[in-house]
Amino acid sequence: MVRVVLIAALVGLMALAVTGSARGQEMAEAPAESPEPGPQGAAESHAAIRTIVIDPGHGGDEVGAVGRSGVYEKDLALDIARRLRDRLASGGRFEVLLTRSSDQSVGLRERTAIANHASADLFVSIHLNSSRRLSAHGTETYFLSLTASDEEAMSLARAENRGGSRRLPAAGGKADDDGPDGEEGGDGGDADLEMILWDLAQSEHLARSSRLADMIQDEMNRLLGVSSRGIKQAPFTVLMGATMPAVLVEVAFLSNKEEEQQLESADFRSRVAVALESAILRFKDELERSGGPGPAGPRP
Amino acid sequence: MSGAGVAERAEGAIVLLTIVAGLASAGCGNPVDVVPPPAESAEALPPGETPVAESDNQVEVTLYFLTPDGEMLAAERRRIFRTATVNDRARQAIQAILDGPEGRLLRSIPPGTRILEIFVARDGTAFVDLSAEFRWGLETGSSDAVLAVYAVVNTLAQNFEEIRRVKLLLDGEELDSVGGHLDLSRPILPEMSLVDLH
Repeated sequence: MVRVVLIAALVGLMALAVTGSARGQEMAEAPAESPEPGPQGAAESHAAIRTIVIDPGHGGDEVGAVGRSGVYEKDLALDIARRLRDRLASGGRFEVLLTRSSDQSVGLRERTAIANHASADLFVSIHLNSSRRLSAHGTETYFLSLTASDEEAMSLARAENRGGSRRLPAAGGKADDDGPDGEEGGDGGDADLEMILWDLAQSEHLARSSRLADMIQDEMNRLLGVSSRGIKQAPFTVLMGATMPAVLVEVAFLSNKEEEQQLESADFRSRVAVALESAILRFKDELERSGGPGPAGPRP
Repeated sequence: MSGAGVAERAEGAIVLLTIVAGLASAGCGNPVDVVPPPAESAEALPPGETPVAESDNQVEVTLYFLTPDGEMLAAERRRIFRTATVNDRARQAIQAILDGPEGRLLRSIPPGTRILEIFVARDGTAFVDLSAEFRWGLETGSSDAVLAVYAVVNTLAQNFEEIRRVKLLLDGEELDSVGGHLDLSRPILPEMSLVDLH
């Protein structure tokens, strides 16, 4: 809870930072300022979520968990992902991309890159769980935990906000350093600001990911009766670096006899797709009611 | 997989060099920090023996195991010896996790896992090198992997103020991930949302 408050505070800070920013021009490109009158009409153009990337776990040589009948996680995950895509894409409500549409191997970072490249508004990775404890059962939805580098970037951002003149270090993955950092800390304010904005946008994505994870757990329980093991945070590689709300759903346990039988039924997998769709629609509604269109943060 | 293996080994070598460098620099100031005497840690936690009543040379720690339903982490209190170095106290705590719970909780770490090295750097990062059994036992699925990793991370970060994050190595090598899911390329912060507080 402390973290949520912190994130809320940081999002507020971001709004302040944007106001005083010289980067207004770039911000104007955010969906908020440039509604595209699309074929769906004015109401749809304000949609908080337009592009969704669905990521079926594993694929190719990497089969994932294996059920006792010999069924592979990769195949069931792809099937659920396709069903979810068909539902979400029907009537042109959303643009939906799959990170893989067949039984092929795709790298974890490549999957996130596909979502970033498509400027997706949502990333949903679909997996099936497995445990040494055969009684383990239920749905888990994960979102990213704060990593050590995030922690440092955030505390530096706070120091910066208090009027300190410390330079932000290049965060992990940001290799485009603007030359040797000046110790004086007077120049390069734009780069600092960009860092802070990027970081705060990530914090906001985390808060939203948490909401979506909550809703997925709810809907899976409500529509399927699958017990909820709660939302959890962990450093899943496939969620790292995503520049949008991103969750990983462990639908149910292939290692559990009853759940394996359920997962092998096409009807059950259809109903999983319905539950996920329902959660995504709830999430979209909430975003539109609360915050207006689009993620507020800048897109790198 | 073989290409990645080579890369992992190369990265592992770099990390080991880093650790050695760290050990060397830490050693300048305080040689006691460098190599925790194995004899000491062996006698520090007599196997199968319930710790006696609180005394000056013992300190209580919180260890994380699995809840009986296996869904979350839960705490079990245990006493370890108040040895001089945090390296050694951290080793005692992790060894106690590997030995398993004494009460109603379930084991959180794959059986057979051994500690190869534990070293606490001055920046608050604990380098924990575990034997390959840790990885083999986690190929199954996300839940087991997440809880095992955080049993280690939470235990160290919770009990030792010198430790803020944990970098896991397996068999001396730096790994990109465990079970193909979790990112272990960076130090991991504690995640108390995984702990059942009831």
